[in-house]
Amino acid sequence: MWSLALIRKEFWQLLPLQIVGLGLMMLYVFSLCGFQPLNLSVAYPTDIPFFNYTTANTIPILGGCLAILLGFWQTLSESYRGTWLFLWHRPVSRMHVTMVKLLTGLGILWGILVLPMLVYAWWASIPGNVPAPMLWENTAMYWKSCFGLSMVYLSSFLCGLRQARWHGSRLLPLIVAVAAAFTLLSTEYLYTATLVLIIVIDCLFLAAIHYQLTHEDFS
Amino acid sequence: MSTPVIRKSWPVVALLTVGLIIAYVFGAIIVSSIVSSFLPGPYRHQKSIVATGSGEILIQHYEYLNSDYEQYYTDLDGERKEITATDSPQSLTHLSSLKDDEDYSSEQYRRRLIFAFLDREQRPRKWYFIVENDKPATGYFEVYDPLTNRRLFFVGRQGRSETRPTKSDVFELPRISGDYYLQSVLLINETPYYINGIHGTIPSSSWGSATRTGSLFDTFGFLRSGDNRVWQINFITGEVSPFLPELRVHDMKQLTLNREQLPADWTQADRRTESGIIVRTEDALVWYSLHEEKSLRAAIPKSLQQEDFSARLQGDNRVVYLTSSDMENQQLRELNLLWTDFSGDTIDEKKGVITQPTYQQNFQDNRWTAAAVVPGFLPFASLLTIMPVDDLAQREEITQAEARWLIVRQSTDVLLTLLVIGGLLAAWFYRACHARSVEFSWMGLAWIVLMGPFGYIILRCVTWYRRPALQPIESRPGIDIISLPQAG
Amino acid sequence: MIGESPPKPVPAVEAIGLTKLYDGRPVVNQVSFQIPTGCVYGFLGCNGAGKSTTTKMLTGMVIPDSGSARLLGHEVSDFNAEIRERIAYIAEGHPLYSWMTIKEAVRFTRPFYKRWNDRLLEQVLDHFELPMKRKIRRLSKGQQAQVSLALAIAPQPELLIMDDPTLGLDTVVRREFLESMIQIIQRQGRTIMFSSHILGDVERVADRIGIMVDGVLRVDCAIDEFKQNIGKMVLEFDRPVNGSTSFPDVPGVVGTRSVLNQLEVIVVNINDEHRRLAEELKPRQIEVQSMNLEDSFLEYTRTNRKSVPVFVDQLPAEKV
Repeated sequence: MWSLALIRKEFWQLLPLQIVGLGLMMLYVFSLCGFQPLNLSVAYPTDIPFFNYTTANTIPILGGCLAILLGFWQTLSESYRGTWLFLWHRPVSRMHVTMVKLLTGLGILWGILVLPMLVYAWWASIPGNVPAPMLWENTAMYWKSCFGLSMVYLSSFLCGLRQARWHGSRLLPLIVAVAAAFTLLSTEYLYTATLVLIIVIDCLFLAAIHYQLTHEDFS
Repeated sequence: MSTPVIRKSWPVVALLTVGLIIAYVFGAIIVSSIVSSFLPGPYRHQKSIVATGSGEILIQHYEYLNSDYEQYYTDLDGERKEITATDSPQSLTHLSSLKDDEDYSSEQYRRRLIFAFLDREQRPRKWYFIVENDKPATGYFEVYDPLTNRRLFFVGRQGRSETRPTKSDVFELPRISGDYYLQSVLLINETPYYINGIHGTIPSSSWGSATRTGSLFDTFGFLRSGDNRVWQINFITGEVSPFLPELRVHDMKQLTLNREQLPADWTQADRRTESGIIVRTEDALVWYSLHEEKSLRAAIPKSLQQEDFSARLQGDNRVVYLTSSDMENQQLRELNLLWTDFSGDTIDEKKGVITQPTYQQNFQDNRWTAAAVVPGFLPFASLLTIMPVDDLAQREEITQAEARWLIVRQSTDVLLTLLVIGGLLAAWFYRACHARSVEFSWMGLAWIVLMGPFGYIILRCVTWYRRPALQPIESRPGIDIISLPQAG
Repeated sequence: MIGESPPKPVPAVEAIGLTKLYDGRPVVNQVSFQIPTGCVYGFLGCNGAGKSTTTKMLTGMVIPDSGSARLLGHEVSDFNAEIRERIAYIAEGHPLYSWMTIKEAVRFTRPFYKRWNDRLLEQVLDHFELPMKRKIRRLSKGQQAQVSLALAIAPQPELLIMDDPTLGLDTVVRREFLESMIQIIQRQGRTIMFSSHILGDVERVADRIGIMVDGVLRVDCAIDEFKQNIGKMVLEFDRPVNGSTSFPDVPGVVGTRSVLNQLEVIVVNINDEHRRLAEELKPRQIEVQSMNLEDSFLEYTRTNRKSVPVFVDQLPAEKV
């Protein structure tokens, strides 16, 4: 099936980013679990699980950087190699191809950010591992951060797709996403409303990407 | 010949416009910060009331102009006073009344707050006070052994337990408001500590390891519950017992008194200070010494029983109260001092000891500056919806919704001006389209009216795609060789 | 029904007034042509003439500012998967995922097509002797072109559009590639359109040619017709003719050029009028030369028509 082939291709193409992203995540998770790989103390095992600067600030910011790199990598690498012409000529609609690319990118992003922290949360909930309360309710903000980074990813994908001047309007969508992420992901209030707003903004980016696919010149 | 068009999609236009607004605001803030750092700043003179160790009430002055500043002290008559190291002027202790504040936490706070500290056991244990900002807010303690990482026990209203306290066993807490919440709810240390962290919620004490020690009172701390009672928490055994059960407490602070503030027969020769807590009830201030198990009680004058104030127990059974009141001109506030005896009778009074600007949020005066930062009708209107109005609501004693409507009314002239500017830009855009035979939509014009210069720039410069008219091909008679292919 | 003419066959490629402007300048200006089914069409032009842009508009990669295109009878803007599967497109430079091996590239491309012919692909890859496990970036340019061709052929397309498929290949590799290309892909009913600026390649394989000059399609005819129509009249004089003698600018005259004592006049369809005008200039000799495709193309598209200057050491001794 072509979508599996495309997923496989995207996965391998993004492998360097995955390695770096997962490596950093594991570094933080191991530190939170009390192991200091490479003697780097990036977090502390005495930190209260999901109630510390690492999970509230550091990891989401790193996740944001990863989201930006993923979006740009998936688009600019095709532009740089000229392989948009190869890809768009396959007998599949552009939106279908793009949706598979986006789902792969999002899957990688969320996989890197969510899975290690799920393992850490499970480990922290085992009595005797962490000298602090592990409250599952407190993980909600972290999952929201991960979910909300989809805005940043989609915006960088759109910026990579859009043929405009870098010093002009090309990065404006990314500015919107970063501002939205800082605002919506840092507030503790209006949890449901912010989730809805994230979805609305994601839809806006998807609509913009769809427009660019059908109205952009790929040369 | 084909008609030129504006090639656009509304999602793209919306994103580019919002992005441009954010970039502009960011740039405007940076530029204005840089420019204002070079410009001479306003002269400021801040004053506050402090008390020396001997009980003398002084005015602390802080004058600054650009990078120059001076701090000095005067007495209440304005005479300069030199301060020695032993004087150590300090602010008076602020104690709130139980007013019916508007509930700012109209939306549930997502996380459970966790405040961490260590007790004073030989092998200190980690205590966590877990607060759920529900309606009403509730809290309980979890205690961990830092060596084995095991949870040792919970502490709820019924005291120590092996299982998590149920809803009926947790402490009901006063409403959360602001970063300094915990200081008036849970006392565990001699030194007031400040909760500062992300979202104003994650305590800095959770960074690395818990750093606060429950050194106060050696073995216990105090918790003020939502029903205005104080509970004594034993940090050794986990026992919970009511403290001063007859008192209905409005506010509670840690307060160390020095020898001059205490009755002469209280103090021992080898102790210059006495640690304790001060609680405010409906009609009295009660200071409780936790080493001597003695207390001082001073009646609050009737005129102050409903007011917030700062107070200091002076020696000789006197209390000095500091209150503030807005003057008729709401830009100014005056600070007033009242001396009473312990029975609440007035000894002396000084009104208007300090008169100073309030430096309150005053959006009305800054609305044109705000419009310069977001010069678009819809962006400015959005700014009005997210502008903090707590201060205004408190000042005017109105609800938040009413305060927000007030600033909208105050900004009507700005909104109308921005609408007019947007209209002019839309007219200009219309003319440009007309002159170049470019198709446009009425939605585009409406967008420019609402978004102002940002909408105009995006529609005119970025997504404007003017397809020029076809250019005629230079004919080359007899030179072009065009012949249609034969069929088959 | 009796008396009705049979329906016209649908051309494999039909461009109607295709136009594209960049920065207000038309890089493709109202280009119209048809390529009948089964034809090999060579699309020629100098660098920047608009060949690549036209090709991209035909395949839907670039949106025309005006005009339309049809491939296999279907509007390019309305392509669905089924139609696109019948069309192969090799873009300029043979863009492929260079980090893939040939095997991985095949594994990636195959699932997109229902009519993928593995046997045909094997035959093509064997013919080119391509190492399946080697990464594409480690292949030579010629080998990359071969991989590109193999992947384009395997779905058994009815129409092949190739944008400068021999770009960057040296003469030997280019010749081999073209011969293989024709051998492999030419079969009844399959249409090929390829752009190039290497005339020798086109002359060997194409039936019809189109020539773009500054964004305009100036020639669209059979190769032989083009060669026959373009002629060069060489007027030889007794003296150097730098700028002193000129041929009248009449219909059919593409351009003139002076070389020492010769005046070369490039004409489309030389006729009696052109001969009469030549004789009026009183040359010592008039010669009509035929040209191969390359010379014809060069002379037809040459923009620099300045006379070659006479250098001092070339003048007769008494003139110095």
